[in-house]
Amino acid sequence: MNKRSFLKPNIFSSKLLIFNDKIKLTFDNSKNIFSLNKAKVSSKTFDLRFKDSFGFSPPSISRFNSNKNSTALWVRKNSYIIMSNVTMNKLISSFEMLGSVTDQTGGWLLFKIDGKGSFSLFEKLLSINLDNFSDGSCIRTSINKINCFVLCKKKFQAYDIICPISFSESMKSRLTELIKLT
Amino acid sequence: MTRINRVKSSLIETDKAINFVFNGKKYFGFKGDTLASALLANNVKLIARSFKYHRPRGIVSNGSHEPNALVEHIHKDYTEPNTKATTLELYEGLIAKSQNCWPSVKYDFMSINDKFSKFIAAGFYYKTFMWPASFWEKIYEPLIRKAAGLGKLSKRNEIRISEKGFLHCDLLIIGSGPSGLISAYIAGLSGAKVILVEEDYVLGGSLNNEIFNISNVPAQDWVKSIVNKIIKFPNVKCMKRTSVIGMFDHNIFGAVEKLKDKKIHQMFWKIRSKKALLCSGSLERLIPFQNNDLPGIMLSNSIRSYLNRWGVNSFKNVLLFTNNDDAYITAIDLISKGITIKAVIDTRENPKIFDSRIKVYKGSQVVNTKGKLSIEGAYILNKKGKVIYLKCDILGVSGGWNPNIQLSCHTGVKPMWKKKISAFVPGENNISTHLQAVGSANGYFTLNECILSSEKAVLKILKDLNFPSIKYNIPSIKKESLEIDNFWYVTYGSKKKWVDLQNDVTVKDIEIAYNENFKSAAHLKRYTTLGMGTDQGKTSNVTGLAILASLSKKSIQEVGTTVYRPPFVPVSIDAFVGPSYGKNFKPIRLTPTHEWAKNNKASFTETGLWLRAEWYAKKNENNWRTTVDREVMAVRNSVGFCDVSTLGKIDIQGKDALSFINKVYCNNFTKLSIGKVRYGLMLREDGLVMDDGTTARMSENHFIMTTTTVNAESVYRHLEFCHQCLWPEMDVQLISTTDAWAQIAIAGPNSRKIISKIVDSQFNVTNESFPYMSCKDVSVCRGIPARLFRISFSGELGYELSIPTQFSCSFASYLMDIGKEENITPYGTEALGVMRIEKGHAAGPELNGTISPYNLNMGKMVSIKKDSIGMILSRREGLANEDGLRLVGLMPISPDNQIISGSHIFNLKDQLKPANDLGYVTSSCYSPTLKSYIALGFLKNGSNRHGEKIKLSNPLLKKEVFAKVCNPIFFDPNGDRLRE
Repeated sequence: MNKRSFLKPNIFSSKLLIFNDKIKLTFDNSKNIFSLNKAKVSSKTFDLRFKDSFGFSPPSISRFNSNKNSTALWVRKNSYIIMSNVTMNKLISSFEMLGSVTDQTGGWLLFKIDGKGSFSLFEKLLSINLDNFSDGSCIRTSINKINCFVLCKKKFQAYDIICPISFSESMKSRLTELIKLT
Repeated sequence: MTRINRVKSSLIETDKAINFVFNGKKYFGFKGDTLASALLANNVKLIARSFKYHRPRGIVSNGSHEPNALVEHIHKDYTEPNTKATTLELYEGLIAKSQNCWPSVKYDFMSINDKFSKFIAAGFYYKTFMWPASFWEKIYEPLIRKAAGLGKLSKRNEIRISEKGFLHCDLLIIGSGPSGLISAYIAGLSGAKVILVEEDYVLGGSLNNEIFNISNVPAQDWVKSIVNKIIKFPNVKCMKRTSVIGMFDHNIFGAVEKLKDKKIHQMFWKIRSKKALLCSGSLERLIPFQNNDLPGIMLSNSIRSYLNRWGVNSFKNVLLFTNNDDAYITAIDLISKGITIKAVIDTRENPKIFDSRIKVYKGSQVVNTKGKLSIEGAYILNKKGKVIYLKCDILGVSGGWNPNIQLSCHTGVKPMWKKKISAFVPGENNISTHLQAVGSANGYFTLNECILSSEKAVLKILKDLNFPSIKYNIPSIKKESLEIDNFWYVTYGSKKKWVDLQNDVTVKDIEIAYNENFKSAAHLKRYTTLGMGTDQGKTSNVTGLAILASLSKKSIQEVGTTVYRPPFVPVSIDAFVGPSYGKNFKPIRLTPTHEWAKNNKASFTETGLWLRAEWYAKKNENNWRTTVDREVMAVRNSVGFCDVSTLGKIDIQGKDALSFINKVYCNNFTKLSIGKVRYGLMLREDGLVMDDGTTARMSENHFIMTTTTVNAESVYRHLEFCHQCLWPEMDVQLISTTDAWAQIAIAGPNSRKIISKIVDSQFNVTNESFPYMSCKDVSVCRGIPARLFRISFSGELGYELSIPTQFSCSFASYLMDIGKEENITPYGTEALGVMRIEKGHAAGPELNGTISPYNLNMGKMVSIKKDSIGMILSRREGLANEDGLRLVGLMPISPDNQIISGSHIFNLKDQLKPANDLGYVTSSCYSPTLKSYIALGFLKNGSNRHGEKIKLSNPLLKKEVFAKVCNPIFFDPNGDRLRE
């Protein structure tokens, strides 16, 4: 973000929402978020450029890849969401002619759920079989009628929910309410 | 604390007393009790009054099939009527009371109904209340409604917390009796993921009622031992207090779990299992005879369960009436606990002799009972045809067993009659391959058969699911048999013989129904109410069908049965609702400037899921119109700003983006140059208008499309459909960026001054370099990336500025600061709406799904030089008629006359009838600019009727207004202000 500007952005880095002996819920919007769409070009070139930019290959169907700086998740064929420290300009120059980059920073809020109570929470939120939702999986689903992505970072233990910012208050309210009850 | 009326049971903790209140009186029970067992131990037999005749009723059974003992359970957080005392787990401080009685259960005023019962038999309502017809709605129905119903809804503001959840497994086992436990154990050993569901609060099912040995240990101890093994399997989930209420498509079962000592009171689970075993056991049934409904008359097996499981021995003189062997097990157990068995009355001529201490009346029947509020004795018709009287305080009845097959019917499979056991079983050839009934739920009534059939079934399932075969030991059980006589009801005597205790249906009622030609099972049910209510006839259905079969001289298989439907047990509506009420009924979407707007006293309105600022009232503005008028005039005279982020924003990129846009919009985009914005009209395949908006060309292959707020999702979905299905060869990428960018409309003659202060100095926003319908990437407030569009919805010189969402609240505050000199004014959706009507812009009320481009006076916009979605069909004769509906402006003759949206348009001289209807009003408002009410509407041949007077009628509000037809663009029709 531009440091010269006098406008103050609402940026939260792992802000704690609720915490107990079984579960911890934080939220975060500190990373830049982009949609990266592959154009009708050679997959090989795109994949190589992807690896150069983020340090890992494009994730396969319903998976996400991540490292310290970046997370990339599969959205649909030839489409990925990237959460990263990389800037828009750098991405545009990297993927020029190979695909399109759309800035989504600020459009999503990341809820991080961690702890042994995660399973008990998610069996009330998701209709999927959590047994088969293994580390590195991601799905686009609906929680409390809110369209979102869920990432499994550690099975039964750590999950991320990527929620559209406009719905984030409803999502926050539902998650905290359910954690208090569970 | 004394242990009156109790004997030892391993399932009752007599060192843990629990206090409870029933009908205002204090009692105590023990941990492990139900309300029913505790009441029986306290010698309370009279629990409730019957539904129709208000006859005294007591406890009949020991589980969810209880027809009689329904009470009002008053929990600290909620009140639940029709709670079965037989399933209500006792807890400290429990409060319950009898229902369906006034002033008390002992002296019930409405018991007078019983005296007039001859006149109110089955079908009475249908015959009696037919005349005079005018009495029905005003007298009969209110009276019947007042008298009818079981229990009352609470008027408390209740907080029962219900949640929903999802479970998945390889094998779902429904019921934890002998079949369920053996199946769970074998499946658990194999490693399959198993869910074992039990409606009771202890596992073990019918085995908890028994004291015989299994593998040389008492049944209850054997249960504890195998349960201990099962719960240690990490792959087996045991769910107590959980009723599977239905089987649905795609292998989904619904289950309701009552949670104890948790913040959540109940869970509604959707369980998806690869296979399921129905181990729901079977239920004993009654034998109708005269006065067989007195408190103290119970199912024989239930007496055994109260004795063996709950240690209740308040019974002193017990009489048993049976047509099968099972009652003798009850007799033997009672004798072993020192309770007197007066006799067993057996309908069979030569039953097996089980114990020489039992006096058996062979070939005999109980024909009547004596007692007022509880049984005192019974009249026996013996083999020789003589009636004798025997005193008793409890009469146990065993009329045979019905397998619990309800769930097997939920997918539409009809049950099959099995003559050998005189009961319906799941149709073997028809039953869903997904759900398999085993044990006594499948008609195997002996323990040996139960266990062997379960073993066979579970091994087959595990093999089918590719789980390994494992070694285990089947428990050794003494082989036994169960013989049953095909005896259904006592014909002796003419007094009431109760078939369905919950609905007060007698043998006579069934005879009346039959005689009046209600001869099918379904008709019988509707006519008599047999099998309705909270127990759904679990103890009465088959007996009723047997009586019908006997009357029609058919077999029970021929008569058939009604097909059981979900739910298996009553479920309160809040379990289905779960958390989806109040704020969780639907999510809300907040605009990027919501916090700022809240702090600036905005009133909010719902627009779809969005919550938008409607107006910003100032002090002393007590009327919303005053506020809105002020906001409109501020924009018209100086400058205002409004958060329009809710408009859909779609990022379109790719080499073929322009061609793509040209296909989805009906007007031509081929000549849209970089840095320009164009209005676009999107049609459906049928030629009607789908949506409108603007599309900006930011660079050669990069476009930003805006949609209306309400159609943001559907337009995006439509574009995806076009891309993925219609033109997959196109190199186009689509991304919705609605949430990522805050869009602020800044409008009014002074808006350029404001924009000049915001946009960084390197960007030129003069009229010459940035004219109307321009767009460009800019930066604002020292380097914040933004997009500037010179477009206007208000009809004023205006801009829309997109900035990253995170800066929106800070930006709104900044706008207020830098706009002080121009008296910048925030405005809400209401002022926005007024200005767009003044300007004649179509919005949601006009784009209502029935409108063509011609209706909007935009017929010429549909380009015929290119192909686009909806182009061909928009030119259909019916849509393009010259005299069709056209968008017009409407001004009342008297400016103060409010025009109501939805009013219909008529010629001045025409009568107000549908044939003369000329159109309708879509939007209306008060225009502070024109100092008059104004409206938009669709009028037949409207474009040629400008200047004519018409009348507008709103029949609902009974309001008529005279108005003049005019150009829909009321304000600045040439658009000069836009281009200044």
